[in-house]
Amino acid sequence: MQTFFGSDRHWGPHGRRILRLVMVLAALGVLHATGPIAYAGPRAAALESEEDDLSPDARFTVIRAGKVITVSGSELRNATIVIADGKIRNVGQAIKYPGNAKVIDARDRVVMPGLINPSSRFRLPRYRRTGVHANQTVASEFFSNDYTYERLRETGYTLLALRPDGRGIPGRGMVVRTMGPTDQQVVVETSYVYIDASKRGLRSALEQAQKEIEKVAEARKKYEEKKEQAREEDTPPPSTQPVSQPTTQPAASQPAAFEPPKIRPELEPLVALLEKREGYRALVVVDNASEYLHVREVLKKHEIAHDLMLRSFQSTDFFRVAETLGEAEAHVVVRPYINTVPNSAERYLLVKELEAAGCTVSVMPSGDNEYGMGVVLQRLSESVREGWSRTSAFKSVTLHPAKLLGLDDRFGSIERGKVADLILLDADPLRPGARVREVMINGEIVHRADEEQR
Amino acid sequence: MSKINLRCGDRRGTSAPLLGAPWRFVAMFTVLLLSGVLAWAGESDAPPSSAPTSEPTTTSTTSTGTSTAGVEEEPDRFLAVINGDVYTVNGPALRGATILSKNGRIVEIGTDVRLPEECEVIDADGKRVYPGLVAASAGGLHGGGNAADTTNVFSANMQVALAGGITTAIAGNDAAKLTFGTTEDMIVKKGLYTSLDYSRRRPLQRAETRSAFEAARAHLRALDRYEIERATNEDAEKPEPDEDVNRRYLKLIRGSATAVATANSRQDLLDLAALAREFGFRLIVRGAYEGWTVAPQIAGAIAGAIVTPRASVFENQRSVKPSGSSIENAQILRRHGIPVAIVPPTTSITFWGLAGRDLLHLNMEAGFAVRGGMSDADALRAVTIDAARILGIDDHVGSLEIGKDADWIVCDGDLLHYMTQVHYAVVNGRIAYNKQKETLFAHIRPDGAPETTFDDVWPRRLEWPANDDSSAAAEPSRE
Repeated sequence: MQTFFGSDRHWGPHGRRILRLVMVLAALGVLHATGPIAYAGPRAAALESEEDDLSPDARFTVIRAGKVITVSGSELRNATIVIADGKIRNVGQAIKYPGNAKVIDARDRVVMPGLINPSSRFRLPRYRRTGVHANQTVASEFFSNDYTYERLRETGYTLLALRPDGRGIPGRGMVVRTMGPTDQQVVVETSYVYIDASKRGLRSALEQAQKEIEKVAEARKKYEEKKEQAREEDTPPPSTQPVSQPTTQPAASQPAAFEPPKIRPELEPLVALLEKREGYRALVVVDNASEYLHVREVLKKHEIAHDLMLRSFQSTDFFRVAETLGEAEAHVVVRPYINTVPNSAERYLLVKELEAAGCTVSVMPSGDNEYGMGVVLQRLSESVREGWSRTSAFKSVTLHPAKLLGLDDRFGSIERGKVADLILLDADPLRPGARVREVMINGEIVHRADEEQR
Repeated sequence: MSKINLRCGDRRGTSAPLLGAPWRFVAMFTVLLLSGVLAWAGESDAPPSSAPTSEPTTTSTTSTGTSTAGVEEEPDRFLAVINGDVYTVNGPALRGATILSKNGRIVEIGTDVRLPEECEVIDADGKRVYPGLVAASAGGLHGGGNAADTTNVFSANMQVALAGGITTAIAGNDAAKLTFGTTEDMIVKKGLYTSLDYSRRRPLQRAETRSAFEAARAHLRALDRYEIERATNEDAEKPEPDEDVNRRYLKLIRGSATAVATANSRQDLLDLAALAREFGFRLIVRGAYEGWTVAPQIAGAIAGAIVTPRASVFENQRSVKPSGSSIENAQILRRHGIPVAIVPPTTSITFWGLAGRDLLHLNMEAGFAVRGGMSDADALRAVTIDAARILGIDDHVGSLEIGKDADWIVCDGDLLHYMTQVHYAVVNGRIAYNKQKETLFAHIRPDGAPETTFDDVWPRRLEWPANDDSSAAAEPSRE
């Protein structure tokens, strides 16, 4: 018998009844959209989810975690994360999930989003490109292989923003994953415009870019004038003009389409910054408080959309411009230190002062290697012990760097719809000795800590 | 009641002479009463939406209120120092006077100053207010190249120099403010000097300098001749300067630039004075150790000398003429009418000891000039207005006058005394240094602490911790 539900040969009499029950349950689930979603099966879940982008053979993975640090929301104890197609479908306590889902028992684990490094040169060739080369990208230096990030994954970093190196404007960054499908390893090919220039260097570069804009505007004006002139000539000529006279300048009457003069390629991204084009943002490096004040003058004059990297060490005077940075609502990248006032033993916490002033704080590891990235959580725990808030500390290595890179719609927290880049630790991340045990990228466990290594 | 007081007078000052004469007080009261009645009557007539009469600063004649209505880009920046003894340098010392600055310029000085509402106030009660000191030789306070681009405005050097009272210093060939905490309004003047090399020790350079002056003079004379000739002959050809004519020397002879030369020996000073006389340019001399031996001879020719009273150069044993340095040098040069700027032996900030010899102690160096016979007033001028004049920036800094830049320091005593500390340094109407807030000297004689005498600190006594009962009980007994 062939019906809508298939033949009895496939389902059998009981199976058909069960299937009907399942469909009813699914319909109920749609009705109760506000309540926890009752998954009746993979196909049913696909039907009731808002986005129907689930592939037909989507496999569900479920993590039953002892604790979930969502970063964007509260921390959940004994929570469940449902993952399909490499994305988080749901997270919460007492969530039902499909029966055939692959369950990862992580009841002795703490799950948090994978860490994101906003600025790194990890395993890139030691090549400094000094001068103004804004059109260059790290992609030309980037040759990934399987082993490049093998040790790095143990640290819990799942996303790296690679930056060009050199004084001046050495180029644009790119964002890569530390693992995952090869075709998905590069997340963003051209990211922020990296600026590590003196006030004078930055000013002259931007002035040159401004000149390029004026050059184009000038050419366009000339073209318009010429066109106008040609139109005037095209208008019915006075009767005195003999018709037999051949048109000597056919090009003048029909001017070609406007071809803007070529902008110097190394200045193109700067022109985009000056024109405030979408997707263009600068990451400006400053070494001390005074340098920020100097560079700010130039950035303010040209209204450059920018974030700041405070390349400071333990002893730093950036506290002097915390208020100024806060007024500008700056997004700052800092190294995780407990700071001291220069020439003094007075301690302070820069990250805390910046945040209190109104900045968004991202943290980059103090060392650009496996060790430096491995101790970031430890450094953060010291900052938290010194008085920084726990949620801010977590955000500074996950959500805020994602925001800096313009990827906060996909990365940086455990939320419905975000990419399942997660790390599973054996203790609270801020507890000394906590260790990243499993790393999940794109919904797949890509790294498991070796027990023998300990 | 208090509102009426504010309307008729200011916050401080004017009411005191009124109280002195009772009949005037009565008259005043009558006027007040009348005006009050009139105001009341006017108010009753006027529509209720009229401007409020209780506004204390509406009738102010001085430009104290915020800028008139319109585009309010940035509010006016006011800073005042009150109750201090103000040493204006170019004018009298004013006891308990007020200086009011607006947007980095001094707008009012006197005992009868009304302060605007939004005004930062430094109370200098019992303290002295001087113009910020000017360092005519300095290094390491500003960045190299273009100081406005490269200076670290939070540097320890700058802070220490401010603690020494310096608010303006030479930076390369520019004069720049010590704008701690801001990069705004740093440069006062660019391109101060043309440097001359005219020493007997370097005969080649000396000859070059001289020939350059001669070439420049020849060209200027040719220009003069051309001007005369043009009156009669229209085809006269304007002379073009030769390649060897240095435009800087043209400027010097025309008087639109200033030359500076380092000269210490008697002979070099005499030679330079002769050169300056011959070509008629404005000359500043650095060093001038032996200036005291030739002061009358060089007096008319030299526009200023940058000297160090404590310079130590031994006399020439083989010479019959007076030679070597003298602590009286500054005083003798000044007495002969040469403006003198005083700089310490080390014209930078040093952190390696030898207190009293670097820019932190510029005021002490002026004190040594007093030791050499200079008057207090002249010594003060030598680190303020005279130093500013030697740098060519005396229209901006160097004294406390209306219209000049709001650069002043608040000291706890006589500036020339070695114990005197700077409590505030104000640069461009902003507090650039506050002793109590910075970690540098806050612990030394802090504000409000009881005065200590010499006997309190000497002979030194070690303070043993008090042997209180609790600690005694905590000790394990030996029995």
